[in-house]
Amino acid sequence: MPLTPLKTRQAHEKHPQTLSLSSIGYNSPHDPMLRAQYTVPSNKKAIVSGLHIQIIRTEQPTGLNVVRAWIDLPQGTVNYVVHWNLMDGTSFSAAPAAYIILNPSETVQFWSSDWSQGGIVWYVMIATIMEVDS
Amino acid sequence: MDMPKIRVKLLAPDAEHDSYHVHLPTYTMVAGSLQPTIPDKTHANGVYPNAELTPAEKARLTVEVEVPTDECDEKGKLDIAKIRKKYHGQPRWDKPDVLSDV
Repeated sequence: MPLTPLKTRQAHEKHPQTLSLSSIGYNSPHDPMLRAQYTVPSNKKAIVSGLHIQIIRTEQPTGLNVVRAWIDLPQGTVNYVVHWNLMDGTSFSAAPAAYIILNPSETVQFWSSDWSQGGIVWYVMIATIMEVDS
Repeated sequence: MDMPKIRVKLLAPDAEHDSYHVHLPTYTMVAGSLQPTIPDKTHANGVYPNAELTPAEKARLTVEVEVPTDECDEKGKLDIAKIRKKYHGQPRWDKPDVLSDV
């Protein structure tokens, strides 16, 4: 079955298959903002193949900087990830053990938060979603 | 080509959501776009976790989001007909007033 790029991925011309989700931490484990959401069109299925965190800048020494990232799916929460020792320019991936298949009309929500002690971590969250004809 | 960016209402937690959110099927918030900044309650990137906003303050919150190209018209405005067709049969999105909270 051929994969077709998601229309919303045009923000990344070099990686047209990527849906980019930006989020900025502010030293709180409880981010009350749903910053990104994806709903599968009625005539499609979708594959969530990865979640990636790119650290832009940190305020503190290594060891104190923590970012948590996870995905809420209809089946529950997956990809709960906590990474320590984040430095400027580093990144980590929270790819699932297997591709996650989403059915038509299902919704997936992408979350992340900064668990650092005392300082702020600026980061970008990037999720990779592919749509396929159902 | 960039995804269309639009400024929309930021909705407060409700019975269906336990977070501040946008009433659109697919969106990505633009970093640093939340308005207005309310001292000790909101900042450019969000709402402080323990902030207690008044109803009037909640009603003023807006945020910029990126939305799928195929949900907008040629001018980059949300298109109700395109949204309803794309999410045909989905009760939450396939209805005439789908953008009433946007």
